[in-house]
Amino acid sequence: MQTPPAPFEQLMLPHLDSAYHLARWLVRNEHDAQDRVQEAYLRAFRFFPQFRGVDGRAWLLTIVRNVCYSWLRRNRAEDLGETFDEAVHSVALESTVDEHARRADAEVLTRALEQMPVLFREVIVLRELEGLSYKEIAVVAEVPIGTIMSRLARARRQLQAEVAKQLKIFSDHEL
Amino acid sequence: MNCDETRPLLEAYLDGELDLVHSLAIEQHVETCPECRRVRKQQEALRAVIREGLPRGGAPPKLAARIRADLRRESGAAVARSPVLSFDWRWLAAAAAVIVGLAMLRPVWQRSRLNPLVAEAVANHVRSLLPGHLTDVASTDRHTVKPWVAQRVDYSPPVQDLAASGFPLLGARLDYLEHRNVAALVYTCREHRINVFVAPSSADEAERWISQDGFHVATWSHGGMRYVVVSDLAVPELQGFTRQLREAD
Repeated sequence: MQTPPAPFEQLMLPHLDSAYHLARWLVRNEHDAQDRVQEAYLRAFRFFPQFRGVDGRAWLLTIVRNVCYSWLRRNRAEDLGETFDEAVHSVALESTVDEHARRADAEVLTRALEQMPVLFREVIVLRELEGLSYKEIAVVAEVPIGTIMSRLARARRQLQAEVAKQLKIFSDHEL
Repeated sequence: MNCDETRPLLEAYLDGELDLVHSLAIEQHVETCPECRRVRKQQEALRAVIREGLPRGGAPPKLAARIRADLRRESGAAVARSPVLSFDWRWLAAAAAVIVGLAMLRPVWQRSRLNPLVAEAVANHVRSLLPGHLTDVASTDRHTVKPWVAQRVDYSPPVQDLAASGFPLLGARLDYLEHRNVAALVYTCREHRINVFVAPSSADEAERWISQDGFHVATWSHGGMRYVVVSDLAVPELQGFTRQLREAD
């Protein structure tokens, strides 16, 4: 007979893919992401008695995020120093997205997203990959909803500009 | 609403984060304004590019095994540590645990009394996500799934093919909800699973939405059946799913 899984496993392991996706994009490397997620689960397990049962996924992702940021601070402090590039907004807005849609494959999009500041990467991943609501993202990133709303808008604009830039680099190489 | 009022709200609208009144106002304006329609189309295209282009491989299988091993070790360590405590401390710790336990019990009890059906449906959904628990019959063909279900419960729930709308059928399973066996139909949208519990019901009920533990639940009754939909899919997309399901019904 199999022993039934403990409540922690039952509640938290279904969110493993979400946890991994977030870590993958915060630390930008699959190997380090696995270590961070493992560390986050162990930490979540120890803090589990404090969990009040409101939103398990947001609670877990908050811990994953904190673990990743601590690691970045220790190992890649320069990643956290990235400032938002406001000037970039105007670049590609007028080029049509339809053209990007045809050409922006996974590789281009991955490279474009990796070029973005960590605070932008995380809102894009939480919203577009994990489908979290503004409110849930606000819980995970520990900032007000209004901040999430404007950060997400800026992140999308910058991602669009980055995709355009990547496609340009790509076609320059081809020539 | 005019363009200046519409533009700042357009993204929140597309993300399904606006209330009904504002959403309708935006839809009305966009219908009549070609420029805003162009911006909306561009925004929608960008979202599609991001969603389809981002790699979503999920965690490597080895990672789950590593974490389980960690958790077992950690639980073992906690048990092994406890005899080291002197008798007095253990007594104190036990008393503290009871107090903390009681304090924790209250919101859980209140929540479950508030909506036991939702709590049970979410628990079923989470259980179904454990490896090997999702479907008893795995088939994308509703003509396979429907008779399978009808043979196992004393009613025949409608089974829809929503693959064309982006919600392929994965199969069905027998589950247990509110003290009876019920059919659980399983659909998917990208990596997200959607459980639809269907059971007979005598009265029609309007659609209601509630969220718990990061999962969203929609319930309604129609045509002699009650539907309970559970998923971690974002609410706007899940609303799209329930709309498709109800239209096909």
